[in-house]
Amino acid sequence: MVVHLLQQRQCKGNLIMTTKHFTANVISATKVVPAGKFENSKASGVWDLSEQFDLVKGGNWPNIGNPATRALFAGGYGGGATDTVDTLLLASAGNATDFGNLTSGRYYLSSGGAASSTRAVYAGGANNDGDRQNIIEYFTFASTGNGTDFGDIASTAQSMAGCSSSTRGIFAGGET
Amino acid sequence: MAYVDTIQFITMASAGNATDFGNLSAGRLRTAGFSSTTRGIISGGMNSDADNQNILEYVTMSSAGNATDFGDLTVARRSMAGLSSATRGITAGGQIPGGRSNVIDYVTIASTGNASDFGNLTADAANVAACANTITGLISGGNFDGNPSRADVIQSITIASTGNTTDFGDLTVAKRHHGGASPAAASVQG
Repeated sequence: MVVHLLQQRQCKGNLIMTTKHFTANVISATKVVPAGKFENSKASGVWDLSEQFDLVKGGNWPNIGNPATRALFAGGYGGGATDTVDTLLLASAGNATDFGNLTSGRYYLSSGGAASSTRAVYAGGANNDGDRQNIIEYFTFASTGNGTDFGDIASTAQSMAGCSSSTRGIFAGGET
Repeated sequence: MAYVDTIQFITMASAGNATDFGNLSAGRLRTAGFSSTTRGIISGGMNSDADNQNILEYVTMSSAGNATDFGDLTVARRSMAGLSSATRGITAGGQIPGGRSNVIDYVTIASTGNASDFGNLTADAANVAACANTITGLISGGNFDGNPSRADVIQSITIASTGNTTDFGDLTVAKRHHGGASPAAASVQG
């Protein structure tokens, strides 16, 4: 995290405010000790109240922003079973763009895909003929592209619920 | 054709077939799912008698087993979307008898209890999909009043507060019965 440290210094008798840029940990056990005099040097430590006041007043206090999380919306019914996968970033409003394609057009997918920090996984659904599917496939958030086979659910099914922890995905209920 | 109560799981990091995890309290379809790093919650849906359900039940993600009662949605419905931050789970829209719902309700995932009102979608909608990070939830597509076939609308909410959705953008094509995914609750602790 880069913070911009507002500094006071004297110049010909006048108080001048300048900005220095540091890579900082906002909270740690020791006081701020910049590793160098110039911008982008490291400054780990605790920001004391006067330092924080200057940073806040200067509009430079670092905030935890809206993470640039990628969202995917896959498949569905768009006049027929679609294989389109849309993507967008949750941090900024805007229209979706193409991410890739499911291995086949399906709707009634697991209502929420299961997701880890790196993968989105979709299961089941119905094809354009209305036939239920047992497909599990995944996408890697970091790179656009088409779905890759992951494995199979126990039997063909549609309209399941999906959710996940960082390590496990579950698919519940549905119609077989 | 059968409405099933089965819960299956996969290990995200390694491809393979799904394995039995446990069972819901009853067979239901068109439920919504959301999760924290520790709990998965299944909400609403429709049972084999075609009755919409207000059931919220949960599983502990790390240990296989049957679902346990969590509480109730504010409105029984099916074909909703589920999304969550690491702490708050949200169920949005859905099909109700005679129409669609604009209801968004929420629960605190770490505790149990009934859902509370969060706000409303821009219009009554069902068959929507959702995803989220720790801050923003998106609800997309679906059947909307005024656009009953399918919509390309993407709406957003701020998960930590309550309120109605606002316009975020559009899908590349109008669709319904799709799936949303994002690495939110799974990867980032709020």
